[in-house]
Amino acid sequence: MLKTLFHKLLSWSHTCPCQEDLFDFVLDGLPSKLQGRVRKHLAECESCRDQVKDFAWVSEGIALSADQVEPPHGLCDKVKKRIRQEP
Amino acid sequence: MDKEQKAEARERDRLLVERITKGDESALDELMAHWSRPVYSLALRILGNPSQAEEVTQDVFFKAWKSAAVFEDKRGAFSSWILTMTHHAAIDSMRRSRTRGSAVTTLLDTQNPVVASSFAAPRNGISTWQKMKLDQALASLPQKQKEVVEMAYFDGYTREEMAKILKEPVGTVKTRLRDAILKLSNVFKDPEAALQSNKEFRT
Repeated sequence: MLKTLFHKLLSWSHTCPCQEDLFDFVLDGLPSKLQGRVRKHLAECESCRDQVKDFAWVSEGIALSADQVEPPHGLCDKVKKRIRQEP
Repeated sequence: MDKEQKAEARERDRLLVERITKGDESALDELMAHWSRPVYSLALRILGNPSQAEEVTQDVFFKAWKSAAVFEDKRGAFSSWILTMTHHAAIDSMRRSRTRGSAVTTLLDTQNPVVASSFAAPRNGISTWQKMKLDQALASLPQKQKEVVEMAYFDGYTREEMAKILKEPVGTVKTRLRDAILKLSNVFKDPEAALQSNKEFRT
């Protein structure tokens, strides 16, 4: 497991992550270190960024497929109260 | 929602976020009027616990307020940004619960009608157009692909955990998930074109 992680971190300093890892990135499925590493890679690689954009639509689509439930009343007031307490 | 309406919604959100960066609380009211339901629904779907889902929803909008300045519309729509934040926060919360050893969502929960219905039941708050496309796309996936999508996205399992639960090689799980995502990406990227060209997605 650690060995795999190490090899991935090493290889990404030179090359793009594989497609499976980009899927996992979009689905938040990578260990946090790798998730951060892909994020850094994306800032520099337009081609991977384009791929991720396509997959991001999938992630959004799946997210919106959840049954829509009315949130509890007063949610916005609670958020605003927190904003004032923790400026 | 057609392309024009989608673009209008995106521009509306962009302007609301811009107002939030200037400290306009009424913009937060408006943004939450549009997005609190999808955010809360996603958190509830992942966590299965209303109070945890409410906590995550509050956190997400609080973070959105605090980090509005770093949001860049040209890098992606607000909808993707807020839903990604929600997914991340909810999965994080669920993994913490798992670590603490409390009740977890398992594969068995897909047999639970409330959970299992997420791919089939009507959903308020999403346009009819959007709902139809989502239903068509998700329903068109073979059961095994749908299962790994659910386990990865809603249950937050790693590929290795999924392989153990399903008693299948990790490679098989990865391939299945890749096939599902590629199929879904064709639909979500350009639903009209996909419906035209792919019999699987026709009504």
